[in-house]
Amino acid sequence: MPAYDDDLPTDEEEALLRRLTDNTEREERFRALIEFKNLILGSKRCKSAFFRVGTLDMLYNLLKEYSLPIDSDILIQIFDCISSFAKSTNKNLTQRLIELGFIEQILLVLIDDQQSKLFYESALRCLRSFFLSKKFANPYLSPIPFILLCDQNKFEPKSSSIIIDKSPSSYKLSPVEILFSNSQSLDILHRLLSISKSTQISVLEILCCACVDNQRQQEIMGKDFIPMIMHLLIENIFYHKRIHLVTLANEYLIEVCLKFLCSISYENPSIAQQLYSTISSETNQSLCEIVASLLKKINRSMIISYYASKFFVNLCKTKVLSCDDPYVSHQSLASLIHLCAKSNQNQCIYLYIECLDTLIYLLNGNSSLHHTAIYTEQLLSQLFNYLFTPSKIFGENLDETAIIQIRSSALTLLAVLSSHHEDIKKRIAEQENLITTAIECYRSSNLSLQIASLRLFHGLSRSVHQLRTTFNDTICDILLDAIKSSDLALVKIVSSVVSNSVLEFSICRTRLLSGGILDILLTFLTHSDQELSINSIWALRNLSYLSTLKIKQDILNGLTIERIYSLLEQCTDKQFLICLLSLLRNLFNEKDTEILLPMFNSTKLLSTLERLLKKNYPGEIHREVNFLIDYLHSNNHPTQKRLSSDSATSSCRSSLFPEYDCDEMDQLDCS
Amino acid sequence: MHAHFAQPIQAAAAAAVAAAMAVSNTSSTSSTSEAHVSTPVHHTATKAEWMEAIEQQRLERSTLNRLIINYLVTEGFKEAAEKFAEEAGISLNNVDLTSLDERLRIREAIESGRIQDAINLINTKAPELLDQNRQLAFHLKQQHLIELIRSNLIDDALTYAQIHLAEFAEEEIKMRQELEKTMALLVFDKPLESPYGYLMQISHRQQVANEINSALLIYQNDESESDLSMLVRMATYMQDKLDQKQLRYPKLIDIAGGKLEDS
Repeated sequence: MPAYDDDLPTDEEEALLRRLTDNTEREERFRALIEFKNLILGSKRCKSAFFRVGTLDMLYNLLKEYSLPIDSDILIQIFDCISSFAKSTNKNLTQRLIELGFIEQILLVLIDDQQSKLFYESALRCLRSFFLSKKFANPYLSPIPFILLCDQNKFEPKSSSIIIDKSPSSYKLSPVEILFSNSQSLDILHRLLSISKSTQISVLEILCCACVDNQRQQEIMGKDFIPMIMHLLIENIFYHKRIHLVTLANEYLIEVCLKFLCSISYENPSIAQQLYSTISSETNQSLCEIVASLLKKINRSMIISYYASKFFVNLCKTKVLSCDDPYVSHQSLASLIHLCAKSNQNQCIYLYIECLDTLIYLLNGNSSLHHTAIYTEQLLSQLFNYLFTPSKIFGENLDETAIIQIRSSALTLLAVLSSHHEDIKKRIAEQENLITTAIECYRSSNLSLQIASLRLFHGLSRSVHQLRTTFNDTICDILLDAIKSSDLALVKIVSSVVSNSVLEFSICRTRLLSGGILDILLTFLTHSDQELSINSIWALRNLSYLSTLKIKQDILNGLTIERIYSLLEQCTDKQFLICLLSLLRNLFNEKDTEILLPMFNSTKLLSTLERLLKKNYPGEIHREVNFLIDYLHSNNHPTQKRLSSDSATSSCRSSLFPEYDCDEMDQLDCS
Repeated sequence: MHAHFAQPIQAAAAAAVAAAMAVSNTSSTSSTSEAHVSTPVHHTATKAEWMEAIEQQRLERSTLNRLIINYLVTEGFKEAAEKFAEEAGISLNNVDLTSLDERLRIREAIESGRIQDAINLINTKAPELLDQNRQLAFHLKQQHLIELIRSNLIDDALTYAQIHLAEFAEEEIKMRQELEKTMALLVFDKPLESPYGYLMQISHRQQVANEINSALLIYQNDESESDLSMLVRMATYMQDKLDQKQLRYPKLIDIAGGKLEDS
């Protein structure tokens, strides 16, 4: 907590406040407001001190007083003051601003369309301050911070909502919710787009923040902002045909336009499709062509390159563009890699983190792009630098949080790259110090580094070779430790690693078993988290494959016959059921059938399986059931009856990377 | 005025372009085994050849004039810009002279030590600037502290530092160090002659004024640096590149005078 947090206003500052409250003469108030503004702008201490004596309430009263009728000169000063307070990182302060109703009041005065350009610019700057991140993450990128868009947090539950206790019951309201609670808000913002570049920037920044979910995106889309955005882009991009140069009249405005296109298309297939199909009436170019023109090398702005690339990434992730579309594979991917690989101490580390996170987002589930991504050593070597020695790239005085974030993003991207192709896995795993560093990251106290390291282990665990070589006792101990964590996200990831690490040829298997992994997996079967319970049954299934009789008996004793019957009859989760049926198939390996089958009442088992066939389950389940029934009927020739496992297992995979269709892992389960 | 400015600017601009061509020619020959028929390779260049390359650039007078206007406007020399525009027959319709005026007034306020006036003008023109840029806010307030020390208002200086500058010292070590140096001026009878006397120099005011000017230009989404400055930096950079490749060429040794080294 800063030392000034307990400060109260000085005597002079108190006197100024009295001039504002006691003196009702307009000119005197105007002068006092200017002095007040000059005190608080650029001063956290002043803001904190004034807040402690209830100055916000005073400002709100002044705002109301001079709103009817509108005194624009005074209101401009009030807006500037409120805007400064709204930038504060003091949560109590910003909570109070929202409680008092500043946003609603500002929207009310903006209905008036007879005011000056300065008035609207000031009001919108003020409004914008309520929405934008308080963390100015890029002190190095430019003297005026560009607020970076972090999509990863966009659709999280509204933890940043402020609880307001208004009688009779308390309810949560965020600036975004307040904005949409006024049915005229979007119309007001649309009208103000044409006033000036400053209002355009403010409006677009607000709209970026308002795209919190698909519903809000759709509401914004319905207000026809896109033609205006396209016009702004076209207006500000000049083509010098003679020297093949794109110059930009207003880079900041273009950056914000691109950021808006990214926000509105994020995880929204229908809007992404609409944007893809949008053609400019001015130039007859598609929006994609316009955005692609900004990815030319000559472009100096990293932010423009980043958001133009991110736009195509969003179109790809919503399946509007395929991953081998040139916009994605040639332009976006290349731009993002080039941005990540640039190292410059004067550039903003948070932009690099965003680039890495966007690459993770793109490459996760698009394994066909992996080889393109690492075509030159550029990306991999830079990722290793970010992981091993970030301070050498960004300087020694780097914020600890930033270091952790970039290391964790770099490690996660390495995990994604190592999760599919064997040659890439090998290249990454064999990098000197990588495994040691990943182990150190797990042992750090930081959750994001721990999760990133486990993701790397998960990626590597999808390889027979890695399971036989890399997964030593140290990693086993880490898995045993992580599986007992109280953090659910961590446990889910490690359960995916464990489910691969218990396979018969894994050097980890024995140590995991002696560490009690079986009992832990059995307890997870009934966990409320579906993904964890499926990972557990999957792990048990893998554990039972080509296993010894003892282990199979331990599984059966832990699971119990009654429970198996109960699950077969009552389980409605199809993925869980497939895994359970595969587990039974593995248990009834020919050499153990004579011992294990009598533990089941084979007549009862047969009739249970036949009842399953009558249910409306997908084909994979019926195939597994038919296999088991055939096996029970003709016990003497099991190998002739055994069905191929590949088609069943590929749909069963539940892991960190659900979109993966991992050929490698399917082969692991061959009979 | 044209004769005084045109030649060095032309030389700088043309030198930058010629140097860029020379660098690209050498890199293309080193990276491919085929010769580029249309662009001859220059491992060495005589002064005559160089001058010929410069002459071939054909920079128009209007381009050069626009470079000068851009410099004058960016640096805030309004009167000079108006006069030059009149002489050169250039319209200043696209130039926001009000904004230029405002920046000029802010610069004048800082350079004459009236920092509070400057803060007032900055907050009128760019109300978000000092909240968004802590370093800028700190340097302005530090300058005000220096002015209080210069005026020998020691009590006021101490109070001002406690109330308005302490928060910056808490935030960042560099600011704390700068504040300590500034406060150390109070210890000396003749602060101007102390090891930190440079803070009291007029040049320090100019430094702050330049910093504010650049920030204001960026704030209003203009380029923070004139095209001419960028061109000079580009020419210097290109010459460094050629030097690294150990190429012989007539180096531009005096940018202001447009003087080339004899090769």
